Amino acid sequence: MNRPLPQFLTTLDNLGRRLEDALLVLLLGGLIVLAALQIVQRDLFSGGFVWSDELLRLLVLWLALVGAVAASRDDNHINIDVLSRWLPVRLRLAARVIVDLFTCGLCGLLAWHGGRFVAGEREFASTVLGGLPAWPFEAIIPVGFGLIAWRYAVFTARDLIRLARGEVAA
Amino acid sequence: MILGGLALILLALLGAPLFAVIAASALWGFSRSGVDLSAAAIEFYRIAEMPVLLAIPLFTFAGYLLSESHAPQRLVRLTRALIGWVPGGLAIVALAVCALFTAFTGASGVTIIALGALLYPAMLEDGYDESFSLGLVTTSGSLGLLFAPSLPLILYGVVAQQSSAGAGVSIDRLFLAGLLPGILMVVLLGGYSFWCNRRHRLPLSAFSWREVGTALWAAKWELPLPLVVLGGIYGGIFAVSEAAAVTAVYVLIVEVLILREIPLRNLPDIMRQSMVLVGGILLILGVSLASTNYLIDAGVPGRLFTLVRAHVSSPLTFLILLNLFLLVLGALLDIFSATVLVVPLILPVATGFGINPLHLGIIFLANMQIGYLTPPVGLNLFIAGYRFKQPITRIYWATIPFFLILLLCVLIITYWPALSLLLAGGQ
Repeated sequence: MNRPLPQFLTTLDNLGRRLEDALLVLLLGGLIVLAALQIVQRDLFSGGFVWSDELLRLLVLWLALVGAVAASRDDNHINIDVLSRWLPVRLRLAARVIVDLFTCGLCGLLAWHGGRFVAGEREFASTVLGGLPAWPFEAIIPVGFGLIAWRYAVFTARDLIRLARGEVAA
Repeated sequence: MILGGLALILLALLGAPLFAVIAASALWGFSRSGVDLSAAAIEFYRIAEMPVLLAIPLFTFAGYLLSESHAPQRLVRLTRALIGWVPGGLAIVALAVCALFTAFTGASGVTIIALGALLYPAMLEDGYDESFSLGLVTTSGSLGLLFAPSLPLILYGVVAQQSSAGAGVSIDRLFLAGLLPGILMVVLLGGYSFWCNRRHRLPLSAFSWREVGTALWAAKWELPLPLVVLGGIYGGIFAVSEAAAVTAVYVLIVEVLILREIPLRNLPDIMRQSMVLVGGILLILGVSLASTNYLIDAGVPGRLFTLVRAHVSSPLTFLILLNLFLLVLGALLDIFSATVLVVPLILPVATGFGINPLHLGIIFLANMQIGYLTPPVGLNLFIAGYRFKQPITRIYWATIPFFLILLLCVLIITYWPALSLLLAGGQ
């Protein structure tokens, strides 16, 4: 789907996909094992690790963002999309450029302010899981939104190239 | 102000991801009222502060696993052995099985893909009318939305708990509240199917104890699942998120290790698919926490209530208007976005009119269920069109009788609060 783009972007895209897939499997696997262990521990030893609740919740946050990044690889986010169906093909492509640019800019903005939030947490030395610094766990927020912004930047570039070459929307 | 709002709506209609549109409105609201924009990230981080969200990835994964296994076939076989001999029996089988299955897959369209492909050809083969079969299978794709542990029920509970008006809404009580209204839908649709096919006597399968026994034995692993979930929660053994963990582990062991219907090498792909859906939903939830926070700070729910109160005096009129509004909403937005965006606004208004938040949840989701069948965005119409290779308009006409029955159900659910509140004990 990224045909009009340079080769290194396609390679990078493939690498990114594999990394995301691996990370999703690890996170979900970890979530299942930890959640199951917690029940076993509670029943057998009447009380799990004090930090397992918190770790589970952090895993959910990570799953949410990595899953969202993975959803953006094929522009697979929940949307409405009722107007573009009725537009002529060229205009539809132009609308895509606007929509992709908007999404890219917005995620960039969220990544930036997310980064400020994480930097602040680092300064205040917030902790999680009984003493670990919180900021590396929270860093998934700016990183996740940054990666989504990157994906939509690539979409924008691809659609612009298509528009310039006079191709029709996919 | 109005211009900016219109621009956002236009972007949404052109296909911009809804999370981006919601996030834009939140950032815009924050900057107008002079709040530091990193507040959006702080609100998003609340995803990591709600223990019950754990249930969402776990149940979703279990649902995806079930749909990839042969569990749908076994379920159809068993139900067919039990009620296949009734006129219209196969239609009723379709309704019952889809409802059970959707409860676990969360009405994400998986039901039509996994079960529709099985039931639609079977119905045609047994001589059911093509249009009737198409309409029934399309409708069944979102039936069961009100049964535990469906994703929309959990999400409504999560969103309601964020509001002071919905503080008493716990997920396990919501599960109970959905039970009777869900059964009402299955019974009315089943009654219609029976009536439509009352003369359809031909290839009724004979009832056989032997077949029931074999089918029961074949489904022995899946049958305890609803018992584990519901029994575990209401027996006070598990919290909702623990029941989700048990379900995920159980399904994983049964389908992958014991029955070996899902090869280990397919597992990463199923995990990824299910987590892409979860990521999409939680992303919308996270950014809507920020936009809702802004709306509440700006006093929007209060002003909305004053506005509605000025024009509407009786709860009955309010409920009629609410139904109309929700039907339009369901036609425009998917169930997850609609829940995170609209519930924080209507919940305080509805409780102001004396409507129980549990009852409101069931009204809301029942209306949204109809949204699956209404153009322009009705998800089931598109999935069925894609799956059965039929034009959308044809599917739309085929679903109309079922649509009307569901509408009747929504009215009964709305004006008969006891149906939702009897089991949940929230009178």
